Amino acid sequence: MNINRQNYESILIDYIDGLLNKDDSAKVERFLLMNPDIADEVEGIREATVPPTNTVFSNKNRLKKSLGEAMGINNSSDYLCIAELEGDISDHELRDLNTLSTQNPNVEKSRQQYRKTKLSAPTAITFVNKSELKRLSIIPIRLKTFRIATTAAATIALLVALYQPLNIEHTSSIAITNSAIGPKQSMPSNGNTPKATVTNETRSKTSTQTGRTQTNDSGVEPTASINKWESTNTKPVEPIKLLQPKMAIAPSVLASKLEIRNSNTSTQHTTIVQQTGGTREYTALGLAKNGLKRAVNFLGFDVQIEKNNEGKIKKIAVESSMLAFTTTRNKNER
Amino acid sequence: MTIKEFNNCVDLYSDGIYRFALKMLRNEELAQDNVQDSFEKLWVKHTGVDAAKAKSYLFTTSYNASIDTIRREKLKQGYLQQTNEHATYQPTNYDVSQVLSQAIEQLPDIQKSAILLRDYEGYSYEEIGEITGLNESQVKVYIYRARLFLKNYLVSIDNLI
Repeated sequence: MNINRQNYESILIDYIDGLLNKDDSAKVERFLLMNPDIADEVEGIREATVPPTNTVFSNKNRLKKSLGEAMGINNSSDYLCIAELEGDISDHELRDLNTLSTQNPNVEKSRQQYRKTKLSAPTAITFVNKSELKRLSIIPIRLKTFRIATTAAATIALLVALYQPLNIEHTSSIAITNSAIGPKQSMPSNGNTPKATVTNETRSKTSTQTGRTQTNDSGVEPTASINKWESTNTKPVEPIKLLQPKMAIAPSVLASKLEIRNSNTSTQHTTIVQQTGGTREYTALGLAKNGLKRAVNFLGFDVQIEKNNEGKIKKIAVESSMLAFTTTRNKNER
Repeated sequence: MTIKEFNNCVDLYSDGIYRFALKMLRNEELAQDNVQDSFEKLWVKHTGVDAAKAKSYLFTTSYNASIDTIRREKLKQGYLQQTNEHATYQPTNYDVSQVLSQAIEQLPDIQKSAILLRDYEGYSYEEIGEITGLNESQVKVYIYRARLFLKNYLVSIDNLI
């Protein structure tokens, strides 16, 4: 630091304030010894310093703002009422409010008014479309579980498939066998009581239980038994006909007969459904598959089977409006 | 958040959000859309949202969407006129809840949001602050001012009747 008569003023201020280091202070003191007129100036500045006083302002409280005022609530009772409603009130504030309420009825009235400003949720208003917001669950299941489920489904489907052809056959048989008898209202009332007998229809049917075709003495196999009225002295009437059999039942189904193949004479687990001469032949698996398909269509399921390059089942996905799940046959193929 | 937790949130919070949106927007269709959008946004981020924070997330989304909708609606013709109609409404029968509903409509949007979240859902100042993007002190100020306004409104109607 170089000090001379051109730049000494700013350096002297720092010197007086004690901001210079030891070396710089020594340089300033040497400069003042060499320039006594400037030394007198420094002494004058030191004497002009105003010492601090202990004077205090006694009306600080008048200047302070309350929390209520800071919020724009100038009336302290309003602030206390709101604080009480919001649960923000301190013990001493609550005492103050109680005192004010006792002394001034308007404060108590105001307190009651504030309590009315508390809103209550209108629970009658509800969001009605919750189901649209919800998401479908994807449930990963084990192959074993899937097999059990599909086995159960196939069993049900098989029962459905078995029931339906039998039911159809029963219906159509009535139409045929009734051709020789009269309707119920034409039954004789002269003591010739009609009697119910069981007869065998001459329908061919193969058996899967024994693997052999069972025949009776006449060379034909007894099949489903049909109850029919046998009466005498009755006038034959027109047979009951199905009005629109093609519309009621599909022709292929009408003509179908339940024939279950002998597993020894055909390839096991074949799913072939053969139709020869208006007759459909179902294997057990084919019947189950057909039933399963019907059940799936009925229930609105969508089943997707994904196969790998070798033609083996890789992934099975089942989806409906209520449930969806997927499973992979081999975990390594995921 | 799992799908089950998400669906549980639908059952628990959709009514509250719908009421909040309905009060904010004063329009059933807009409120329905608001609820749909809020849950749609939650679904998009459901894997990253903790189930415990889902309610706050939903109300934050609903609040922001409501403010956007209000701003958009204000640009449309008729909104100010509708507001003025509400302002000049004078009930003939003194029903506190009805009068309060009218009074709330006249609050500034931010005060209305704060007091609805406070009274309908019982949120703390801090939670309301998280939803509205304000600090705790600001929320408190808005709620106090709203209470003062509501009380004065009740008194003025009381005096009229």
